[in-house]
Amino acid sequence: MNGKIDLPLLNEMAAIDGEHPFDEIEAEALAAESGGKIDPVDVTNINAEQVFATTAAWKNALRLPEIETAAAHRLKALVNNFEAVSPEGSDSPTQVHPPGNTSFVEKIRQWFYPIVYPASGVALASSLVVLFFVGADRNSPAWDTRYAELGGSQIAEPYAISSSSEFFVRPDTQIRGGSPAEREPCTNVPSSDNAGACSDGSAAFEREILERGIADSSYVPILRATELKGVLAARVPADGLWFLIRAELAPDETTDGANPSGCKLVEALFSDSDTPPNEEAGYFLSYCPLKWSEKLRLL
Amino acid sequence: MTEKEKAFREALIACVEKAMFFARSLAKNTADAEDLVQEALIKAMSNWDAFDEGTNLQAWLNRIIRNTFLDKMKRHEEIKTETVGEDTFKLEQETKPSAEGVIRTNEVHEFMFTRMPETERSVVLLWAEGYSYEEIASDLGISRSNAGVVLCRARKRLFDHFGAAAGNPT
Repeated sequence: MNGKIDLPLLNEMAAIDGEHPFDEIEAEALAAESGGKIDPVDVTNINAEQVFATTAAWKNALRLPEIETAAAHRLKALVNNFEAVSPEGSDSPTQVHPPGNTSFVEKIRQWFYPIVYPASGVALASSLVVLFFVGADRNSPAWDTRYAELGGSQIAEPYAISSSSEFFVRPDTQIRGGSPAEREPCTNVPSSDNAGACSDGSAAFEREILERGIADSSYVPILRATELKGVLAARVPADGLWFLIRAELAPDETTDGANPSGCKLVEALFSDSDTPPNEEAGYFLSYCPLKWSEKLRLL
Repeated sequence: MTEKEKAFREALIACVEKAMFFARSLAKNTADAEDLVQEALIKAMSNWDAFDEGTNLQAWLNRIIRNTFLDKMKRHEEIKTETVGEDTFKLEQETKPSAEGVIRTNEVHEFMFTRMPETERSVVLLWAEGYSYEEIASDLGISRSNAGVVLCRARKRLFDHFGAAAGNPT
């Protein structure tokens, strides 16, 4: 028998914690919750004062690290900027149009030099600035042919995307109470860490941008929102970026479980197209939302 | 957007910090917690008209977060056990010594995330942050006595595991 938590015991705890006493205990409150998977707690002959006073003294050690405020800002921005799935057609009131052409270099500089906003009365609405570059080759082989050349995980089920498919639109970043600071012009003189560099479009540089975006975990929320809305494409108009969910991947047979079940093949493209750029070539990633870490991998 | 939906979103924004804290008590790290909250917010906004005005929005949102978490756990128990290890519990800030200088934060968190039911973990973490029994009950959508029972269990479990090593309190 594991003993029973009764009213006197609860009220001893309340007294030590400086709380009002309990009047009663509801029956369901005493029901085991773990279904037998976790060892039940034994309160037989409990020394209440010792247990509760000791654990009260441990409060500081029990606390989790402080939640970073940037995460809260991002989530609040999500609520503010939440849009429904964009219906087909360009006359939809929910369609978000890009602010105008932004140079490739400008987009890279957004990555290396995060926007600094005036401090007063401004909340940075979102840090979902995702940067991707793809050599936009409009005469590329079909995506499945290009993927086959990578020799990655087998495709379990390909998805059909066309230029008329519905897509999720990640709205432009909203800024309250201010406007972005002026950005410095491109210097055309790359520094040792590529900061401020005007890219020559080299594959190494593009992949570095990709890897940084993956490390930043900025892409996962976009893909998650896309899935939740039941569509296969997502657009980030501010960066001319598209994600196309191409297929479901079969689980890997390898022991490291690089691709467990539930993984998708995603192609990321940098394109100014107003509709899913189905015929253009991009970079492939595996997207495994059910993994605890490394949800996105560049293939 | 209607005025009603606008009011709902404003109320939802006010719940974000606590939702993040609650999700952090379930997930192993801040990134996963943010994922959970994001998913819950999207579900909440997609079904905002299902929410009954006058009920506890924080508890409703936390319930969505918990259900999302449990759903993931149910589907991928094997992934969770594979990833349990030292790195999983790497502190995001320096270790804080306890009042006795013996119980270590990283050990306690490792224990809480592997050996404690998630409700006990959430309750004890909210309590450690200074929430009253009433506030804990309100945020989790349970009765005050239920919160008390769960907290009692959680503290006894912690004491049984760390109490002998930490010694008696001063």
